[in-house]
Amino acid sequence: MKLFFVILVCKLLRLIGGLVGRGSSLPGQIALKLYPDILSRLKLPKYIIAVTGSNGKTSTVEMIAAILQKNGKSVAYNKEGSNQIEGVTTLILGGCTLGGKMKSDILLIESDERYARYTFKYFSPTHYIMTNLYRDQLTRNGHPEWVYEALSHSIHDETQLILNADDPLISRFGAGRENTLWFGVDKLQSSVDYNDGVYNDGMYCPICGGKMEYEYYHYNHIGSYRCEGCGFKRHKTDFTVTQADMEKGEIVINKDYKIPLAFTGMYNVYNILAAFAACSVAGLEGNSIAGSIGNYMLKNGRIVRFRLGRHDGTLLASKHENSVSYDQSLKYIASRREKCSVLVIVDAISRKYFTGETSWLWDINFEHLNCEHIENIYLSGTYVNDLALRLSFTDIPQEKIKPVGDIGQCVDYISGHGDEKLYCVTCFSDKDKLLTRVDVL
Amino acid sequence: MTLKILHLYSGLMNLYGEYANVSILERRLREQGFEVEVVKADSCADISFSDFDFIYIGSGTESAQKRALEDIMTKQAEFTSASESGAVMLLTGNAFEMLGRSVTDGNGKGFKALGLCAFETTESGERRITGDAICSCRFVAGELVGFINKCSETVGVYEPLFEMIMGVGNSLNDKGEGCRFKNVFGTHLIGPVLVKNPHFTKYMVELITKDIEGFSYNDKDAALIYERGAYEVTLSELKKRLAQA
Repeated sequence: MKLFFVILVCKLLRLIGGLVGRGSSLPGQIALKLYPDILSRLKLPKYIIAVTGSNGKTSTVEMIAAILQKNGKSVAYNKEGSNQIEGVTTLILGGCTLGGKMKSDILLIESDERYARYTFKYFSPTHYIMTNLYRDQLTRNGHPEWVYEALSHSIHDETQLILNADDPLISRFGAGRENTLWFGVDKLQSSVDYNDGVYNDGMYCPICGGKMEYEYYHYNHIGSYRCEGCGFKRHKTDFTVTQADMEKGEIVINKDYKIPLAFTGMYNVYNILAAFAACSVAGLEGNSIAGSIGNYMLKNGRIVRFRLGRHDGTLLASKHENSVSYDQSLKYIASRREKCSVLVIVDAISRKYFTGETSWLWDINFEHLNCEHIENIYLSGTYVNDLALRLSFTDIPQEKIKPVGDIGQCVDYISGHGDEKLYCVTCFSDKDKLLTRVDVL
Repeated sequence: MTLKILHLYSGLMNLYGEYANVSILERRLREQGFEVEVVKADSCADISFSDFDFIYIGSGTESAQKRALEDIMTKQAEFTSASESGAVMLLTGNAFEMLGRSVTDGNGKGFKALGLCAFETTESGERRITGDAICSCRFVAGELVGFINKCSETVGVYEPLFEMIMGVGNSLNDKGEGCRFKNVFGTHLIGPVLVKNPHFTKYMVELITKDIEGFSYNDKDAALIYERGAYEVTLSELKKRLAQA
């Protein structure tokens, strides 16, 4: 009876909350107050797929949901911003009958890394995808090893892990877990034999502290590694990008499944691969998955096309306090080899909390922008001086660097000058400061 | 004249863009007309501390710090004698903890440290202390800005480096932060502390160059425009928060 009542309350609050635009976590929060272990009292679907990691959670979840739905499965999943226990509780109770049975075929959960241990205290995912561990929001997270510790408490024996074999920090979780599934990208034409980041989180073995050797790197510490000390190495993969042609915009998974890309950034390739793995374990055929995800355009605002003056623009939403996310955007721009300018905005470092901490700018490899085809690099926002100072330590010709603190003035200036392609790299916390001043396509 | 900088544990202890402290100091010294040689090392096996005009160590994970500590303890006597004779050094983040008597980890395991100062540090495996910081310093005019990101508390510091105006000091109830022993500076501020505080960098340059005959510091303001701008913006943003609190 209590179960019935709490589910009803949660559903009603969700309905009301939806009307006033605040429905994602409050109903779950109240339900948990009334019934702390409610999540252990429900009948959940056969497949409970969770996705966690520093980068790529939201995009991977969106793609998994899209593929499953196109193939006739019903999926309940949470959107970004409600990835802690309260949001997950709102999602689950919202999708339950009043008797406590979840109606969809698949429950798909994006989970925050540090709080996953609380979310999975009362139930366990059947499959748990871990994308990567990067330096991300260190003002809250401390450092990747600290997050690793927190995350380790969220893993239960009955869960099957699906891990990124190319990330040594994430791969540690596979130790002693026989049924783990692995995904990874084979050596590609774009692979390099050096770490192209400012720092190397794969320099030392996460297990024994010995020196690690890489056969190749895809980017930052992602690649094929081996510890000289304890023998820890990249695991062989079950789901593999066996070929990629970034000029043409196409990847091949497990030698057979061709997938055309709407966006050729490497992080997009990993997200698609993780989604492929998830949908395979949920019972879909490779051809059905490939057929549903080809040319998929994300709807979560990661990539937004716009027009400003005579410029065609693309916003590459990146995360402040996350150097890998920035590096990926900068490398993508460099790889396009078309005449362009770049606008970087750092105004509010987070939308959820205040900090003036800008150390992370020094971990971004802005040298990626030292290309002939990049004409101007505009810098804007409150932390314009920090950006200009950081870029003064690159070999980029300094006359290309144009700091204009006021975002409105900066956008007006760009609007009146030139017709080259424009890329904007900034965070969710700052992107609307651009998008409200341009014509979004 | 060539000045030599040692960036010790540059690969092992570099969590928060700390290399930039060395980059900015190198730039400042070059502006003053010196040649600068930067040596990076992840072990002090082949290092003689007395060869250097400035030594820097940044912050690492708790496990990286223990590995660095194990390594530096092999040269404890030499490190102490360099410090006693006035070598200029800066240790930021949890590298600072290595200057004390011991570091105890989250499981209660103790590690002997350099013992240059009498303090002791205890880590927690559960809780981090993080936050923006404003502090003052007896021998540098103007406040300093930065960020604290640690999981430890340090007690028994005889001569703190800073007085906290915003943020947590060596321990939760302590406004004193970091330590100074002769010309060895330790602080739990993380990241590019020297980039963020151009006046503190100037003080370091003056210390490094104080015994060089015929040299006097030449203030080249024009080059500092972004450093000063960044510092003033951060200080004013943090002060706004402090006023609200």
